[in-house]
Amino acid sequence: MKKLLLALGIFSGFAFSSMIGLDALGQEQVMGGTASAAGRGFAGNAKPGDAEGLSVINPARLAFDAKVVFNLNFSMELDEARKRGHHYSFSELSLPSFNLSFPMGNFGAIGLSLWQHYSSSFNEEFESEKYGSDVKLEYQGSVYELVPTYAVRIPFFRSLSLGASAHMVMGNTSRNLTLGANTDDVADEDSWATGNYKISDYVDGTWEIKDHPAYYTAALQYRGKMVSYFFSFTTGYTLENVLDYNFRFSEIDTLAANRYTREVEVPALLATGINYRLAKRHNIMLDLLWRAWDKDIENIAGGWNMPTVTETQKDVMVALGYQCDGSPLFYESYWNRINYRAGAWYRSWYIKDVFEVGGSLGGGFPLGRKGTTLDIALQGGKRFADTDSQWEEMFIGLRIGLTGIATWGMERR
Amino acid sequence: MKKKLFGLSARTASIVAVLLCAVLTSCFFESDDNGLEKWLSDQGMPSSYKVQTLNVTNLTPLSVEAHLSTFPKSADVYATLGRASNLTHDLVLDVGILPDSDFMKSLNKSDTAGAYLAMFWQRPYYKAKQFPKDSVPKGEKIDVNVSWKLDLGKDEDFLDSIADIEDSVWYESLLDWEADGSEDIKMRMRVPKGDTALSLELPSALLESLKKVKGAAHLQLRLSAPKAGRIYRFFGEQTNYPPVFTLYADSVNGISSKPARMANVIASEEDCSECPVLHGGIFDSLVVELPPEPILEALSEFYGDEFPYTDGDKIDVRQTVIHAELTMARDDSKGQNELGLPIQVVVGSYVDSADLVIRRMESYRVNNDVVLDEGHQNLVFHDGDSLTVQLTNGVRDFVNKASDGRSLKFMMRMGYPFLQEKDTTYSDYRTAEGDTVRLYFPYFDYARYDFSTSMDNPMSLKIWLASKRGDEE
Repeated sequence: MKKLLLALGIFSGFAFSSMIGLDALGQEQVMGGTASAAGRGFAGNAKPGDAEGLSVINPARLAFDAKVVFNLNFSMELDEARKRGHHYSFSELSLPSFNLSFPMGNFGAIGLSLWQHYSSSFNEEFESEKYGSDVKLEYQGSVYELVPTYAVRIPFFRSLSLGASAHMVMGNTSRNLTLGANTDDVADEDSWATGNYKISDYVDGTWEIKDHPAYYTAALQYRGKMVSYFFSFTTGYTLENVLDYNFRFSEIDTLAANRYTREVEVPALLATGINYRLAKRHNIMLDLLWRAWDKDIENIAGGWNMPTVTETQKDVMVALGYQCDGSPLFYESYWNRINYRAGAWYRSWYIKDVFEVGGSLGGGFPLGRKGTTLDIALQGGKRFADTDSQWEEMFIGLRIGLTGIATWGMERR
Repeated sequence: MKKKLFGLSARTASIVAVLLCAVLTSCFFESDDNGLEKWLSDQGMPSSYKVQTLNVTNLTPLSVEAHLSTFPKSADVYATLGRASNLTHDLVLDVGILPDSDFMKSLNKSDTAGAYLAMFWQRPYYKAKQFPKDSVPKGEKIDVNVSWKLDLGKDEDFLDSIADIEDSVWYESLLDWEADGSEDIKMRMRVPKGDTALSLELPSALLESLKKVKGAAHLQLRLSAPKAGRIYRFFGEQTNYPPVFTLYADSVNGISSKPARMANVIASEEDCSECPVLHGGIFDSLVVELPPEPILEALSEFYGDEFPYTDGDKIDVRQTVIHAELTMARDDSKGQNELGLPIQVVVGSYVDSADLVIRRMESYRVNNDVVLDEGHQNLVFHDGDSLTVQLTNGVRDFVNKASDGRSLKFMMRMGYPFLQEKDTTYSDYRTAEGDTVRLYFPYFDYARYDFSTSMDNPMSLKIWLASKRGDEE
């Protein structure tokens, strides 16, 4: 464990997230951002097991779990954004999700997830080439979801399960752009009063769902000997972001803020997936997600030439993955006990003309004999952006998931 | 036996490999010097905020209110007596007396008994190099009315009960002054060269009343000089030279008391209570309201936007005011002062703070070029015919919340006499020769200034604005 914490500490110094869509919703952490799913290219929501844990896309899968699972995920990314010959690199560290699931035998299974669904995190400063003053831009935004889940296998049709989850939204967002003065338009005799102020364009606010406590996901899962598949439907909902806009000198000497509520209509999500077991421990899997955004997303914006909306498109994801399950027997060699994963994905973002392709390699490394696993996924890919404002991005990422597996409440046989 | 990789356990080797990959990969990611600035520009964000100036002319006040409080003020440090600038300054001393019975016997038997009050002149004021030498009181006789209230008690507990009365309660009681006795006397006002006190022999009627003291007495002594030609300044009781009240039977047998507290009671003899007149030293104020429409129209014309703002909850943060100053006409011939020094006009604006409207005193920024050439522009009694006050906080708040229909409201007050008329330092400092140059003369000038010229003529407001507007707006 000490080695794990040391590794996280080292990585946190050079981590980052996408610069695309910072002023809209930010980057979506698909599939709950778990390291195990990331290792197989975000596929595998249809893959049942006795300790697969909670899926925010397919709550029905949880019904087939036999063990208590808790799972904490970290995500780190290095990015290089580029456009018209210019480059910019940055990094971020995030915790996309924490999941806990608790099987209850014939009574089904319950689970709870804390999921950072959308994140916009950015904190950089530089000296303006033209004005020689410091510029600092900071985004801190998270749309968190607390997702209680229940799943149960259908009596008499035990290979089928039903699951449902509620997504209770919370979170906050802030943008702080600190600038120095441009006095080009000020007459010489008036320049004495311009001072050497740094002024911040500051916006902050909270997220919630409009007129409703949550949005919901329902899923049906089939588990076969060789083939498993699922279908899920997630309701549409309207996100409400109450924002306070300010233009301030300091915390104490400032204007009253302008309060404005932006609304983001998130359409329903359809998802399906299949897992095919090739041999005893080899699985291939394919997942599809489809969400048809039909309205633009209102940006934070609020000044200068910042666009007031982000145009949207159909948000589609195709994920193809492979997993070689490790042996559950502790006396097997360590290399045989590791879960080996690989995958690739194509995704169109919710932002118009932004697409992402990526691939990943991962592993689930058992830690000791007690069921604890360290999931690691290495990812790389590219985000294509054919828009005026967004830059394309090359990225590599590291996701680490710490999974504890236990048999609480189960009788020894 | 566990498998080893380069001598490391499999778990450690995995972590090291991952770290190594990340470190190596980071070397391939690079940034241009101006990469972020370009990205910011593509997002429609600037790399600086634009400052512009706007001049709003022909502003005429909606209202001008003069506020003069005659509520008694502490004279514990600075005590004044006399009349200046249509105001009279009475001095009241609160004295406790605790004579023993032997002294009272000798007092009653003596035919040389008496009582006097000794007060020490504010020598630093009269001796200051800024004080006009020909104005030092050199022996003029003035009429002083001495009135008193005397309450008798038995012992020290009586005086303690008097001391328990809050100062503010005592000040309020002075508004309703019904004296037990009074007498007009003549006083010769002369500031001597040494530390000699001004001694005032108190009326015999007061002495007779004091002879009746049996244990303790509470004496409130009031001095009024409504016909004096000036203000006389003395040390208060909380200084090293407090006034001393002395009751004596003869030349060797007497008791002295220092006042427990002192107050100045001001009365206005102004004919016109609504006239825009300010007095120095007494914290009276002019509250001026400027109409919102001309300012909002000028902003609208300047930016091409609608003012006041109506989106969201109507708080306007499209721009902020970096600096603002209001210039008005000035006619020093309508003022009078004692010291001949410029006096600073200080201003405070009425701004919102935590759902309340508070008066925030404006800070002052020095325009070096103008100060060196013409002197500070927020002074009266100096060269020039205009007065410029800085209203940054007030205008910032006004533009921010103009949608509620508010006007631009601010307060003006006479400050201390100003000693650095054409000095840009704007603080006390020491010269290379070791002399201290002060910003202010540390004593108020009981001056009077009529701002009717300022209020009756059009004013101009200059605003330095930082805007969040984009290029195409």
